[in-house]
Amino acid sequence: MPTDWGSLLIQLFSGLSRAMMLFLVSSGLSLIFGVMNILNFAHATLWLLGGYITFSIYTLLAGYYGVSILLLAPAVVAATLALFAIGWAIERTLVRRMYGRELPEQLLLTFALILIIGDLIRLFWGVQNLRIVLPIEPMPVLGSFVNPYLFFIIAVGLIVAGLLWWFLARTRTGKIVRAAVYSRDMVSALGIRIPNIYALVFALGVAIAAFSAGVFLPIIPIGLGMDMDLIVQCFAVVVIGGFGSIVGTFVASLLVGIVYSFSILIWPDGALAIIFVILVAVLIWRPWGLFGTEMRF
Amino acid sequence: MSGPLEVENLHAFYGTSHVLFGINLTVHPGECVCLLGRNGVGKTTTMRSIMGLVPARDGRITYDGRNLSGLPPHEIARSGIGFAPDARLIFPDLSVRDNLEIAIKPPLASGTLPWTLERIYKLFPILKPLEANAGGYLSGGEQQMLTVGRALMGNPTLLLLDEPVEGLAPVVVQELTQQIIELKNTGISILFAEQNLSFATQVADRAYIIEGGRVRFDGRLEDLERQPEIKAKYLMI
Repeated sequence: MPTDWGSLLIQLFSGLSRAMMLFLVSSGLSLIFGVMNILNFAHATLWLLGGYITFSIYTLLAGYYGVSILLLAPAVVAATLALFAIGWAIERTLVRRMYGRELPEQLLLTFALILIIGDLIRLFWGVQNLRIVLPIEPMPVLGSFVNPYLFFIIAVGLIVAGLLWWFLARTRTGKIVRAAVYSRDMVSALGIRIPNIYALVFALGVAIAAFSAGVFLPIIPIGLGMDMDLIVQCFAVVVIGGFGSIVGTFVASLLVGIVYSFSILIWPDGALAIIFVILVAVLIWRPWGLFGTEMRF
Repeated sequence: MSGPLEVENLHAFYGTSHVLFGINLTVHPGECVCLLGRNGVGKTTTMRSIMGLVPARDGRITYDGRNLSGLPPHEIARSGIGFAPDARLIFPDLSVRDNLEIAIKPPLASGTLPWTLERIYKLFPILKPLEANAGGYLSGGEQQMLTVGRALMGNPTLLLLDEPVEGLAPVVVQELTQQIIELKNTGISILFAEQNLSFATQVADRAYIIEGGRVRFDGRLEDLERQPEIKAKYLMI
């Protein structure tokens, strides 16, 4: 096990950037469950679709203008908007039929989405892993080299987390979303058009996930099956943090991201197992998660 | 002035059990009507059915000439009905002010004086100093006032109050009674559910006694006073 400060620091940064991705994907998952009581198993598959769309738009742009990190920005924005629209459409046509249904029915629908979207990806992009290669010089930090793009990811993750917090804490729509986490019936009885809130929450959650997939393309190649690894970890994050709590999701993302990153250093095969040991411990100690509240309807 | 609320032959289920067996009731504009009855006789289910939160299996609910049957709760609220549930359902992590502001909805009729934060704080002065506090940290009485205030922010013409004084200390009940009388004097129609006869006689013009999901008495509260056998049979005295 390497113990020099440099490699510990690298592990910390890679853990933090991983935490940002976990947060951006899990926050939507948590909000969707908090507001609509829907477990969206296809959440990470939509994340993956966002990554593929970003890749294609970037490749198209790079074909015209040459390889540049700046071209990633319009590609990410376009894919985020595309997934917002796709998320809205999926909620309006399919997910809304699941409200109030039992978990197995929700699982059937969202699992079907995983298979359908997975096959569409296979059809359009093939089975090979894709990545965006950008000429980024590693930066020396305490005798080791760190990819400076990790700092960018951490900063962007914090900014989006801040924007999401601002939306939920300061805007009227955000306050309605928080109220709906507590009682959908009451929000509806106030005359607020709750179906629009549902569509917005679903679309926003999916869009934020797609955004993170695009931002991560320069450091991790995307491929089929990655959605399954991610969704499992995101469920762990959301359960640890408490369903419906954004602060809880943020703290749990940091915890899971950093613990995972250091576990890889110490015991690579057991990294995921350690996450689940934490999960079980939290469930025994606080079944509603670190920052969650006991459920109400 | 809006039209009456009319409930005809309302049947409703709670899960698989039949709770309401053909409720009929009317609330005329500007009237304050009470649903009296013990716990579990169907008062809350009647309120929730009117609000669209419990689906009616049979029957017809109209308000102001509009058929409400089958409409989602937000449409029912938009036809001028405000709801203060017995569980209160104050949004706990929103401030008192946010709880009120989230509920803002313009009045249906132009020319009506809309409810504002100032008017709510004037009616319930206790809420003003608490406006930045989280809704989850209020006392029962404060929560109840906030629940009524939140319903008023939507500028309803009919207010449904489900057991507004349940579980409150006697002083608070007195305060709230005065406030509801004040509210009644603004001309708003009120339908409230209650177990407590003394509170009901102070504010209501008319009462329906409900028992076993059916209306057992319909009339003025003075008439009820003259029928002790009905009081003894259907109410907790």
